[in-house]
Amino acid sequence: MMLKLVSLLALLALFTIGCSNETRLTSVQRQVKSISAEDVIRIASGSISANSIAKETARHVGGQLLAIAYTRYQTAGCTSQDLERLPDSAFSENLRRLYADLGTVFEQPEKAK
Amino acid sequence: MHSTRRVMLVLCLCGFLMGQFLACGNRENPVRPTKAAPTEPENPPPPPPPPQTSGSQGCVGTSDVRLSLDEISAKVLRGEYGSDLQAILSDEVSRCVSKMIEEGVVSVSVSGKRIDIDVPSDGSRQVMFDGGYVLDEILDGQFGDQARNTVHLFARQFIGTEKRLN
Repeated sequence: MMLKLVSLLALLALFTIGCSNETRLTSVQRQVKSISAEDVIRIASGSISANSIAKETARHVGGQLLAIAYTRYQTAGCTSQDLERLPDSAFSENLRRLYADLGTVFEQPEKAK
Repeated sequence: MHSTRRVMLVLCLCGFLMGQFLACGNRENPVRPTKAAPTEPENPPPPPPPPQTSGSQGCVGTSDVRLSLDEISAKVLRGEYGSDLQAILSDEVSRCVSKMIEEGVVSVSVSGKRIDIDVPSDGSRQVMFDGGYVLDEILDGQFGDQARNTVHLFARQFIGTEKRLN
């Protein structure tokens, strides 16, 4: 009787210690219907683990959107001179830099590739 | 004999209490995998260069290295062109990818701290992107009367052509 009690207590102690070091070995994957802007930033900046398709998708979709915006701007007849008329601010300066960098892609695409 | 049993019982109780104590200690200080904060990735991007003085020569780019569209996009999404442009582009990308999910072009799965995007490989989707939702929104008048009337006209002409061919 005493031996059974001792064994039971020993097992209980081992079980308790084991539970304290428990780690989650499996995680449940769930499908989502949308992806947030914060998730896109996390994927692009690498602050969250993601597969290569996710990284490529974020970059490529962003690239296409930038290309559309640049082309639309050019089609409307606007140039860098129009950007110069923007009020001086960090946003304006970043926009000018982005426009200039996109210009290098569209002016000589064969070199950019 | 009784004293031996008592000693064993006390030892077991001590072991049990020690186990509980260790368990409490581990719960108070759980060992968690290190994770970089969202705003501070492990390899933080270099700070943007100092603003160029605007002159009459037009805009000045970031560097002499010619970047691809995807590289520029990645830089914008990392915030190297400022937080405003980062927020604008990430919002647009999230809308586009969400539409792609809706259209079944891609599927996104989230597990803990991981996000995976996959392209369905069953061959059911030969078209990479179906812009049918744009057409629906044009016909709903979300892009104005001119766009809606143009699509109406185009659809009528298309239907008329189909009838003549058949």
